[in-house]
Amino acid sequence: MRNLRSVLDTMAAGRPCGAPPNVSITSKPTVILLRANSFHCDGLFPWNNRLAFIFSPSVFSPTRWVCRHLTVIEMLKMMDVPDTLQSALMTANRAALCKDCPLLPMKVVVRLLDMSPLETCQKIPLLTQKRLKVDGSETSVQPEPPSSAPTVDEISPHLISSVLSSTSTPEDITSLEAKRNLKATKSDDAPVPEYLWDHVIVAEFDPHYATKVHALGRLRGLLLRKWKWNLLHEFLSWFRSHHTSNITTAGHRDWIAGADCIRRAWNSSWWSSGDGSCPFFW
Amino acid sequence: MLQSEYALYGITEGIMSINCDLHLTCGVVCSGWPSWAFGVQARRIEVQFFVFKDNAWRHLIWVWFPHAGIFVYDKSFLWIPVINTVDIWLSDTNIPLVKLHIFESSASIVITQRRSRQVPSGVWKYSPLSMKHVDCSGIMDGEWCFHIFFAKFKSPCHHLLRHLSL
Repeated sequence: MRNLRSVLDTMAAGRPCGAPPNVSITSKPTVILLRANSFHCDGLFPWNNRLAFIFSPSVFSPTRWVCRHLTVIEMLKMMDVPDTLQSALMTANRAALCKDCPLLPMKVVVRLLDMSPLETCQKIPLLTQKRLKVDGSETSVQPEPPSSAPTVDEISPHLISSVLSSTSTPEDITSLEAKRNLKATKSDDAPVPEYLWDHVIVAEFDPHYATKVHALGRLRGLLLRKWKWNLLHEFLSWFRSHHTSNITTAGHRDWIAGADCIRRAWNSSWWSSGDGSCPFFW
Repeated sequence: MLQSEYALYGITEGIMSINCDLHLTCGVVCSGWPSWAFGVQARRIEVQFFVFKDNAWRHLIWVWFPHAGIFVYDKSFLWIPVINTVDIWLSDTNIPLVKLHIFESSASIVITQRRSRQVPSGVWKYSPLSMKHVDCSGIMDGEWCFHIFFAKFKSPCHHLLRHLSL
């Protein structure tokens, strides 16, 4: 899960302070009050207290920590205002937006729309067409209960459960991402976050998320195989054009070097070169 | 685009999940920042109308949604041409939706943050819902309550048409 740290700017100015105590990251973050009106950056922001102080990491502080208010940009990010809109707003507008108390975060809006049975909008039966005629007999026509269209009670729980189940994978990804982002420097053998690339093509809430991600993996495998064969053909054609009939010492050296390049390339995956890599000199 | 889950070190452009292939239209009744409008736009729902009494963002709304009609709330305004052309009405203000005759319109869903009274229960099914920001992968502890009305039938605005016919 995300926490306040995900929007903090480590270069923002503030009053240097000591490092806050470490907190165990739970599956669902909460507001962590450290002292009066001061909160931990590994928790949530108190919505009703816009002037709260936050213990934030800082690259300029001698203690590496500062205590400060959120900046306007951080506040807007926290309230899910899109970056494109932020850049389009003037400074005064941004400040006014930060003070907009009844503002509804867009993530809430989007989630609510996802849970609403929008597809039933075009399936709801008309009350009756006879009522439209307004011929004096409209009051005698009683609406028939919908026979084919499911009722809201039937639809909503199903849709809500389907949305929640479809987000189970992204939530797992979210926890992975939170762990990954805890480290500023990643180790060399850290697993590749493939979902960063997958999410460019497959939406997180896509009902066929797992199937599409699997298909993307297969597609990558095919393209990788094609690249390896192309590499081999390129080298062979280059070698034949440069070393025609009798193989000299230089030709033998090129062959050894090229074979090494091809071997390393063929042992690589889409994401990494397991055996290292050599420059393709041809 | 929304702030992504992985928007930690400057990567702030994410991918919106768009699962609505229908062409739906909506009207937004708002008093401040039009969060509803940006949300529905992310779901490819066309915003056709804005209704507000006094909104400091009206000039920017006009710029951001140039194809949407903007109406200032007035009790004497004739709402019939407006209310019957959208599928969804969204409201975050205290303008009474009943006075806008929205519950007599052909809309299928009405979502409001203020509880509306005098809603014809025979046509509309009421369903309250509260959502926490943290449950939507947000980072605030805020919680918002919504009052959702689903149309059991698509009403062709019979009350108003009856008045017109007289």
